[in-house]
Amino acid sequence: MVPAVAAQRVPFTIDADFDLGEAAAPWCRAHGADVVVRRGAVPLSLPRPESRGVAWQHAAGRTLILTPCGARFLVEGGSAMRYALDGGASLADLRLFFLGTALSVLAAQRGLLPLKASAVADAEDVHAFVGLPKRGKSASAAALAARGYPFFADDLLILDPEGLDAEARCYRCDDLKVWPKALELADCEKVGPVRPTSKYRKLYAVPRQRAARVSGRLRTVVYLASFKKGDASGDRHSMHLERLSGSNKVETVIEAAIHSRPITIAVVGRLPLFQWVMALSRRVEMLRLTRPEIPAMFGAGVNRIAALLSAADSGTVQGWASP
Amino acid sequence: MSGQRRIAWLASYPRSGNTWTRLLLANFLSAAAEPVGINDIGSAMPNVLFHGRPWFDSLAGISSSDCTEDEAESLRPAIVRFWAQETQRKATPLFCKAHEACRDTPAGEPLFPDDVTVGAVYLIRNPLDVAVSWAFYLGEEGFADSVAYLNARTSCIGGAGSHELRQRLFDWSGHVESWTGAPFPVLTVRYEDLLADTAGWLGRIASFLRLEGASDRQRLEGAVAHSAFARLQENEGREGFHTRSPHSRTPFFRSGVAGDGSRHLSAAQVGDILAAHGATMARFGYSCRATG
Repeated sequence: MVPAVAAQRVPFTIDADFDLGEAAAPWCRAHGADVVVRRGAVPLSLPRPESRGVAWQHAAGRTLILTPCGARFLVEGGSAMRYALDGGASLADLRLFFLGTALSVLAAQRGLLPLKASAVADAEDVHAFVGLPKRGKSASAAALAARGYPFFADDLLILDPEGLDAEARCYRCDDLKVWPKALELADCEKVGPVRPTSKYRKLYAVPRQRAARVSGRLRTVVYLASFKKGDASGDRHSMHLERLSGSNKVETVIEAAIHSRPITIAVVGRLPLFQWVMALSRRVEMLRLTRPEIPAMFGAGVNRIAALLSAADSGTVQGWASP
Repeated sequence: MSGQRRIAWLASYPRSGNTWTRLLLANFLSAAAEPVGINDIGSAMPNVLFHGRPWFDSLAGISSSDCTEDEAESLRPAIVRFWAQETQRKATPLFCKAHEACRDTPAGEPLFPDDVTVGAVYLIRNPLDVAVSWAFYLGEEGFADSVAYLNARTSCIGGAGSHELRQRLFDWSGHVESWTGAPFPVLTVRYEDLLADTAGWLGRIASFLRLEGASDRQRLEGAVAHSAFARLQENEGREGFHTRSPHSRTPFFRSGVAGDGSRHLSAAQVGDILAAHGATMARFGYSCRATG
């Protein structure tokens, strides 16, 4: 169980007419919340969209999200959200897309930076994992929870760009979700299906340890990759850990770490987003771990990260150096 | 490129020469003194993997891993239409690599929409050789699994938990029938013919796709030289290849020859493939006596 967190500070509060789940409890208020979320009429399109994608449109401070399961969201001015459920969409579907895409859009409308990341806690610090889809972000965070680093966040990490000159303060809001084959690898316990359909296989799971805090100081971002150009060893067990710097840090965040990236760019604007990412890259350490996507290498990769975080904790500067 | 018909599908059953063909086209389009690197195809031509999750996520705006495979698949025609409309680059078609069969989505819409399609280059290879190449790619000890894959009507790759979206292949014959019967122009290219007369077939492909320079023999020969198998092997040996399976014990560019199947498969495995696909093989000129 997550310890009581009601009094913890969050960047905004939410009054929703459905259950957001345990991990989002610190964000919820019954009255006087910053954001009100209610079921209601949601259009199928916006007039004269300024920008759009296949499943979203943005115009005049309003963002429409159309999910293929039938849940639709209209996020307005960072303070209100309406949702509709069509085509058999369930409350579980609603919660999944709310705590991912919709909340990231809401955060962006409120001047916050949504990161597509899982994370672990380390005292006051947070270490995050980013990467392209299916690179083991959630499973890596869960596995580190069994190695002394409490699980902190899954899928969405909300960063406050305001204070980036001083620290990278970030917030978490959702529970751990993993693919069935990752349960054992990540040493976590199954809770139940994320969506009530046998066609969707991800599961809610409980890691060995969870952080009580809702926020922390983002210190490290680990980019998980499966291929490194120049690695011609042909060795299926080769693994590389390197420290990123300069433009590589900025590129990595923009390419792989922005939640709902095209929507976030539309809401925030390219220049402000770039400035936030620049500031973030100055504030955090960034590492790239390249490991083959085979189960036999998963544990070795997590051990490598744990050793590195431990070395950094103890002030062993060499711990950050490239191998 | 007229109207919204901008997509050139480069389609094949897995391990049928798709990557090599993309490298040939990349080198043809680049027409540079230096070869296009095997990891840099995208720098020479607008090129995506139709089954790639990053591409899906960036155009959909939502995460494919929040969707069921059916939901994601039903969005894909809209995604490729959006790509065709929004991509600014005008000079060449937009190349889209696909391994899945040409069929409808679970919502009943064509997965490969005709209205944005210039045409499809469909690469076909002797299924005996495909089975062997696929087994090496997957690092299998024997060839039983890849033979079973070629023969099963429900075969699919990627999907939940994979970095690729689900791709329904059908069996090998079903795959061939689906593409050669597609409702848009299709140029069917036998891998064996491409090996035997690479410049000639590259010219036919370029002409089919209405690429500038399609009859420029020097340019075609240059692209062929830059894409020579020995050069690709040397490139992979020097810098690795992102498409290589982590399970594989051999390089991605392993042999590239025709006729491997009858040398590696057992008589029973050859018999299974011939029994399942003999009619389709004969239609495309493959010997049903297992000699390729």
